[in-house]
Amino acid sequence: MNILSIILAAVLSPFFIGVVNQTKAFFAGRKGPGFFRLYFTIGKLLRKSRMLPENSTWIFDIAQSASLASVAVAVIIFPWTGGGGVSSFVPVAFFFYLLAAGRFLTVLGALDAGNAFEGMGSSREVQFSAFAEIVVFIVLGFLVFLSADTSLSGVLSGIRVEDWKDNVIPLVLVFLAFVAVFLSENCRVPFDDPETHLELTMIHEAMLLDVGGPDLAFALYGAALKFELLAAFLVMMVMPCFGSGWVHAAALFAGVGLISVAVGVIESVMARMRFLKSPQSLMGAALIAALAVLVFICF
Amino acid sequence: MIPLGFLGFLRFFPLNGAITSLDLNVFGWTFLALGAVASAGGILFALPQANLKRLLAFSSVENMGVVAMGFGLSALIKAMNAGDSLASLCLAGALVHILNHAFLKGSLFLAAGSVLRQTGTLDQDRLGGLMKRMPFTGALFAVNSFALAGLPPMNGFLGELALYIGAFTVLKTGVPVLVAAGFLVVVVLSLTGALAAAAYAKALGSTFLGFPRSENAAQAVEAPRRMWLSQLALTILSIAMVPGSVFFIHIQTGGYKSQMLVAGAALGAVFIVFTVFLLMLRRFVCPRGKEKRTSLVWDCGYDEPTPRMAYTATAFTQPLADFFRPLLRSRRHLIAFKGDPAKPTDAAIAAETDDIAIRALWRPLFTKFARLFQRAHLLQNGSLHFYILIIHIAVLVLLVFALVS
Repeated sequence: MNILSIILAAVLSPFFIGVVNQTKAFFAGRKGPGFFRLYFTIGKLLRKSRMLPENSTWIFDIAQSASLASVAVAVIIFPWTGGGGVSSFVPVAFFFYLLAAGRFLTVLGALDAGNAFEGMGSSREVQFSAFAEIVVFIVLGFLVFLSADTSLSGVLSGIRVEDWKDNVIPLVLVFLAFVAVFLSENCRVPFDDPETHLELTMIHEAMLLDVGGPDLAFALYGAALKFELLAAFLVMMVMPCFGSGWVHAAALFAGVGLISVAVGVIESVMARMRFLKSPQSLMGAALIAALAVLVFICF
Repeated sequence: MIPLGFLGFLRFFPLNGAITSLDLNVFGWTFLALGAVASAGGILFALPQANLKRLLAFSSVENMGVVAMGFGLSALIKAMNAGDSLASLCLAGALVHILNHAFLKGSLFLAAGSVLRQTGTLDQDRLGGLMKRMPFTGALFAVNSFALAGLPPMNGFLGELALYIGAFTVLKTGVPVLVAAGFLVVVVLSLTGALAAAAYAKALGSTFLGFPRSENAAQAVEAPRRMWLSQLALTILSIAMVPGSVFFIHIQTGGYKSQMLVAGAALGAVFIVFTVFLLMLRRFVCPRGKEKRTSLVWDCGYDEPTPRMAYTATAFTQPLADFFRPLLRSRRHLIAFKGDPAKPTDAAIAAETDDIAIRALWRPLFTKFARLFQRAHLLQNGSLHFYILIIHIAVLVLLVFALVS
């Protein structure tokens, strides 16, 4: 059942990106590209040959594959059915270090191409992720404190209904802080605009300018998986655990769908922040998370 | 050589021997505070360094800070009686990190030496593209910097993972003092980890990847075999330390929480297997005969990209360095262009970050002492009679002193 849920997660992830895009299309009054557009794009890209910048080395060659592999391992260890399996042995820090490894590889791949835009994108990416990392680990510290468990599944399924009754304020604050991380790590508005077509305003897309063919398919699929993973993390922070199994998995995926709609709404009603504001907002999120910890400990 | 200081501390403060809880508290908080400052500060200063060896040296400060935090946390857990195996987990994590860091940093410094020998410079803004020219040194540098950035699946990650597990477990205990210490360790480790990844992405990216940014770098050839063979030996030791770290911590703690470390190391192996699988899949799905083509790098359609257009090392870290500018006190040299504003050929900007300890503490201190000793120079006037007089006075003063006491 665990393996089935992992396969389901792997298959569904491009669909959620479709949900975001359809929501945006609905707000803009367009027909939209359809819920399954990303599947076709990935299929098309996989059949193409690769195009490498002439100056690049083996780092560029393996960067996207290794990056996708790190996210794939993160998908495998995630407790999709609410607990048990590998996830109860995995330290919660490992999960985020896997995602960091994937990002490190993408950044190296971008630097290997050796042009100005990719350097710019990777420079911004490491800056934002450094601040996001602090927020993530304060939130994790809070969750460990709350759930009295240090494993990935323990932390995520340790939130009960009573916790929501007793500690509404810190939980809401922590949730808000993690929303900021979720948007920033997935390169969504207001931190990054996935639809911008000007190289100078890109962050994540700028790192992929020279990536093509199957490598681009891997990069797009990896981004979709990461979106789904962090959205699921967000859902499990809110959702009090009601037993393991299919009910849990179904509720989880429904929650991810809701978050996708919410992301689409945010992107339709908001513009991207100035670049200088993004690190400040993430520092603000870190302070909010720290405040949540203080509120939780003191009251 | 750097961690030798820790050996001295461990001899004087035996964490597993007879020592009062007050001593442990003082020891723990001192180490925790110093470790937090050293690790966050060290990596912050490593980040904007243009000189490769200085970057590596500052990163050593960071890693020793991480080790000190492990020692401090371990002592505090002991002081609060929160579990012997938990304390030894933190201590073992720190010790393993010393060993891992020694192998990794040794190899990286040797690689920096090869770079210096083959190109004549360590300025990362003038290097680049060495991976093609020095493939063995480059590959070894890549593996080692991945490990020192503290990322799975390499060994540099496992010591930190043990510390994370220790710090998170400490949060579980609910003892207020320990919770504060645990949060401090978690926050500082996460900041340090993220900045270390940025610093090593810069070191690897601007030295070995992209375009060569100077004639020297473009003309470089691979270093003699003996130079990279020593790096290879250290790298093999580091790879052996992946299971080695888990084993060592397992023995030290008697199996406490070791399934988590085993999971960390094993999933790292899964990560590598997945990467190989995806590379094979990519080859399999590609149409036969036209797997890959090369093309110009994308520069908005411009078809003659030059190395001048590539991002330099200083540019890469500029956003982070700017954000932490009040702390770093980087100096900027801006040469504004003169003449036709449409052709800004002469404009240049350079940034430099000094060691704050040298600039704010040691240099003023040494200048003060130098000035003090300038005064003492009066005594050294070259006349032998004067010296004999001084000796007599000194003997007289000592005599009086001896008689009085």
